[in-house]
Amino acid sequence: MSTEQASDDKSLEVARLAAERVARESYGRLVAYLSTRCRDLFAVEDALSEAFAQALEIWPQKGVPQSPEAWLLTAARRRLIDYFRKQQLFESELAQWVSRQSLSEPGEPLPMKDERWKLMLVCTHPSIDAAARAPLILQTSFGFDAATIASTFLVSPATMSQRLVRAKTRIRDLQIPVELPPEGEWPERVMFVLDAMYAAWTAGCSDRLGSEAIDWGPAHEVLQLIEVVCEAVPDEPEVWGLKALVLYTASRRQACRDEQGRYVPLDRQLVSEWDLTTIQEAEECLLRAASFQRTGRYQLEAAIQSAHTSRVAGIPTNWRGLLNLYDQLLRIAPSYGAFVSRAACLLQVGLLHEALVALEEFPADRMQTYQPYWATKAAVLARLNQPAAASDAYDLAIGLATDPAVKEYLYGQAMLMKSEPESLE
Amino acid sequence: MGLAVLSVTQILIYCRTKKVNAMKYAIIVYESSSELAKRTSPEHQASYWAAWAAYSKAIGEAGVMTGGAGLEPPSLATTVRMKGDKRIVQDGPFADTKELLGGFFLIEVPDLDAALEWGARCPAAATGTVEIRPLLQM
Repeated sequence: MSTEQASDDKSLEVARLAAERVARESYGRLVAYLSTRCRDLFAVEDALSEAFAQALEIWPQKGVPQSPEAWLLTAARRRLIDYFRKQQLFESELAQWVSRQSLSEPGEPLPMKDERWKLMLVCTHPSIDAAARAPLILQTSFGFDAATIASTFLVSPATMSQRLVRAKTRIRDLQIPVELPPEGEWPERVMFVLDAMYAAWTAGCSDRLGSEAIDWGPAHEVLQLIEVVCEAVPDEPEVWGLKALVLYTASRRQACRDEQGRYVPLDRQLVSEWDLTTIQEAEECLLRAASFQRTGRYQLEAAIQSAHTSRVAGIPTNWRGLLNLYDQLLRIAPSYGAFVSRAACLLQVGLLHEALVALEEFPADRMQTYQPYWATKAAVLARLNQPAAASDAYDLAIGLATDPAVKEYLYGQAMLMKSEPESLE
Repeated sequence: MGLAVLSVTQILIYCRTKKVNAMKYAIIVYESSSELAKRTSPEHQASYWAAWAAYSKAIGEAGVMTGGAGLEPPSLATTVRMKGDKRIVQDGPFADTKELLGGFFLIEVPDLDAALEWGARCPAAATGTVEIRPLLQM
């Protein structure tokens, strides 16, 4: 290979990387900026992806512009104007807006402010299918393709594409405005955004938590978006509660696997493996949330995580305190996870029969496929010295787990019970 | 594959709880040769079979399984083809591939999402490949 060729390849790579960086960092801002004026998400996304393709052709030759975002925005606007011409919508208010914007030379200073918050409100509008909300936010805010999002949510790529297209069609057909909702709807709409953020967070990092990869997929981007929400609605305590919750889980991502890649449950994690700076940040968010004196689901969940960090100060986990928090959580936001975790607290404080009775109230139709239920039940039965029943429960927990490290951990627990029954006392 | 763990009672339970509008899928399990070797390896066979037994038990008790089988390794296969009126019988598998068919499960679930979830729980999802395919409607 000649030096000339090598440097060509290198500049091509530089241009490609610059475009990719812009895609990741600015995609959502550009989509939000354009779609606050244009309700047609299809048109906006098409225009932007064409602008990106164009950039990848031109930049390697002419160099990356001073402000790549502004360049892309201008190119996307041109595409939108073409689109409106073709659709014979040129007289529409929106087309007027697009064409009124300065189309001076690419590289104009960027007038754009971050309006991703409004985009999130659109993506979580009550008339959008709840299952599509989190995926839609990931796509419109970061340009993740349907296939990546599908893997994150364990859905087939074709199904995910359909869900995304259906959601965007609804936004267009119902003319859902990309603007702030009326004040009366405010608290409810904020909760929809938070729920979608949390769904995206758990899906985005659940299978990556503790893995060696520094880049843990969409989880990092979701944290970015939660910060956007914090800026947009700083007076809503649940927003800070969610941020705290997410930071607590993030702070432990190194600790939930040991050096051999084996799963380590929370109560056996090494405090030295926790990220104390992140925990500190989480505590500050939780304090800020608490200062409003309006409790809620995410604040309680964050408080539960906070209680687990007492070991940082050398104070053993207060399981009775946790039990109390779970009781409160189940009152305001019952969930399968909280139900099972509460039973696990009963086990920790030694109330074995109470734990078993509590588990028996678990909804029978969900039980068959809910792995944490069987893992907890197995641990309770083992402590109650019922090895045969415990072994059955361990089997079901192993069979239902998807994470191979969790499968292996549960198998180890079952083996331990069989080899030295007293060790689990 | 630990399909033998699934008892007739479990299949009967399934029949009683059979739901309307269920979709039929095959969970087709491909394993690497090193994975298949664990079946008889003194060091690994206990955990290998335990994982499959646990999965078979979970899928059986959930009432979604309608059938399935584990397969012996391809080295025990015999293939037969007719070329015109000539029979060609060979020892060994039809094709040499890296991922070997280890067995399959037949399930009835409400939709593809649920089928994928069962696929992800399958031990081979972490070590080989698990393919989910709709059954041909007959």
